[in-house]
Amino acid sequence: MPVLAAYIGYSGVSVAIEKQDGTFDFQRFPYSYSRELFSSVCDENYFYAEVLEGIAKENKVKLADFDLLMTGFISFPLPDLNIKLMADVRDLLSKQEENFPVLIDEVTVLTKDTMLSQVPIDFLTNNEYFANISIYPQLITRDYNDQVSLDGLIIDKVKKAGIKLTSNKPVLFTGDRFARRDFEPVFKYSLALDLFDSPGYYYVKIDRNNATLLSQLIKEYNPNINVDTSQVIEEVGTFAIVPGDTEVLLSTALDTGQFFEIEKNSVFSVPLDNSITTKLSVKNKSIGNLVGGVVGGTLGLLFDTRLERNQLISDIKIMNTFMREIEEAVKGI
Amino acid sequence: MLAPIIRKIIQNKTVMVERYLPSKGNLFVQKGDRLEPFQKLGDCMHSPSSVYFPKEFEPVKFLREKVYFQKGNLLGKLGAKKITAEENGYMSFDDASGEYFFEDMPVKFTLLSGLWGEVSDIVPESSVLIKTTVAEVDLVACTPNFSFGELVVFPNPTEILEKFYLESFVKSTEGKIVYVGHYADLDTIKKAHDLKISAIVAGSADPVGFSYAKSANIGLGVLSGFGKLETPDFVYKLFNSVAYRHVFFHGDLGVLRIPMSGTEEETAPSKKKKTALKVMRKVIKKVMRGQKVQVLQKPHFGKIGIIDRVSVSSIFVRFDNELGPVEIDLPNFFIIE
Repeated sequence: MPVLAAYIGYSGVSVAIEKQDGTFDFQRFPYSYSRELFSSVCDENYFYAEVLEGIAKENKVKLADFDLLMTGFISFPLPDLNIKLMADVRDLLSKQEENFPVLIDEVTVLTKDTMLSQVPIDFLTNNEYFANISIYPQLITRDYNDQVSLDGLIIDKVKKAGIKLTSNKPVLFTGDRFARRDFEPVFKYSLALDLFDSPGYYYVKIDRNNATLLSQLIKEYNPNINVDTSQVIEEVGTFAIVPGDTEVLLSTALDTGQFFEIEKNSVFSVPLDNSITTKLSVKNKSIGNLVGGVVGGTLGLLFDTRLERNQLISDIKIMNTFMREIEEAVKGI
Repeated sequence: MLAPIIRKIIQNKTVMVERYLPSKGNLFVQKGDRLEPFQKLGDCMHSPSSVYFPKEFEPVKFLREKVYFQKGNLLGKLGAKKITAEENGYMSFDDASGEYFFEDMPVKFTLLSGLWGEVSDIVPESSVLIKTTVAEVDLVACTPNFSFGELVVFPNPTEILEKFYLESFVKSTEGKIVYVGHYADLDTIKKAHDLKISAIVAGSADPVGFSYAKSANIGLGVLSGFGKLETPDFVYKLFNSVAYRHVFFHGDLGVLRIPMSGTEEETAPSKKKKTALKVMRKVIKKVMRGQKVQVLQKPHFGKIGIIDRVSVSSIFVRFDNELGPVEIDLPNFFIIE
């Protein structure tokens, strides 16, 4: 039987559905169960059974014709669904070998080593947007200040807990915060950048529909199934966290190289493809000299020379430059 | 495109409501009796209020049995402060807590049914369990209080009116459940608390006011969310049609229960209604033109409109007072039924 894997998150349901040719299609239902809204009509079990039935119907198939696999933040079991495999989110993350996954949503921050969870955004706050999110968790905002506040909560939570994102492997951001559609796509990149605290070089990926968890879940069920996640997991590029004035020399086998200086307290992006490795030489007082190979991605190679790592989108001046940089970087590829 | 359906008002035909006497007394109904809202269920003798004094309280005389005091008589001292009886009543000693307490003179308490239904069970001398039909109004946020009382409905929509009406109802709002309009701000909630209103319902509330209501243990239920949001028209119309009816504020369940008569117009299980009940179980639906939606995107947050057209990742909604349709992103809306 074909497989349908579902991840139930804070603000929606991500699904990987196997097609007739054996490939997988990733889809998202951008709503989740809210006790405040639905408890007088149904429970979580009934709600998610209806959601999965609805998704199957939209794809012109029957849910009963699939082996159903499930993970997420929900009170199991779900007796209305015939689930073949249920797996714990943390177990699935811990089995990731290729990347260093970081799961983030509005209430949870989860890595292989650390779990920081259940810091509720409840309505006992003066912020109307947070108060409404506690009722309508799926909300996306067009208000810049609301977005600053919301992402600020996540960054504060990570920093106060002393979580340092450092890894030699690519850092893969996943979870509903990155699966949610933002009014400005740049917000995801700025949040990812702000979550790094320690100077260094990090290759960054963003999972736009919880594909990491879903593909791992499918692998747990049947190790012979290969799931192609390249359409959903974005190769963002290399983030160079280099506080202070920095000198850079970039060269490929095809050109003579390019030298430039980056002033402190700025964010600067160099368009760089991820198909070739570029030689990089960097001079920086706080992290010393570095020579090595680097690959790019959607944003290419991103230098962050801020001395104080405050929230990027709360600083309008740097953020405007960052937005322009990103537009140019994306155009440059 | 799929989206969840929100039902602001649900008819529930199998609700059991317990009506109880505050003290042991007499019940006048039997299992199987049909009830009307103003039907007497029972009565008892009950003190409207009782006050417990701290352990430091020194009574005017040592006593272990009930002693009668007239209004104004000295009961004892609390430090240097003299404590007098505010009403005629009895002072006693509670062996369990080791404290003195004063109870007002018991008066006759009559328990009314307050709803239409059938007596399902009885606890002799104490309470009656009634099977009834209610309309449940969904409260998206509420304090976890339970209370019941007469529903007072203030006109929509202005805040000036809210305060004016609260002042005007000074003598008659105690213990009642009041719909205060589109928005309950901190001042209105504080005023309602001062007036001993048991619960207030509004289209929206100030988050600070909500925190206050929670700490002051006053019932507060919100219909649309936080900020200045409107009450959906059809909910307001329902409130208006049932004003002064005895209603039940279930903060723990997030609903305001309004007893319904069970007459042909309200609850008859006609063929059409049966179909509606079956469809009601659906919680998600394909988004289509012509559906009624509640929008959750500024500056239309909380408003209800009609879908004009559906795009790939957004919908265009027409509101009553707008010239053209407005684009609303998925998932900033719910289908309303």
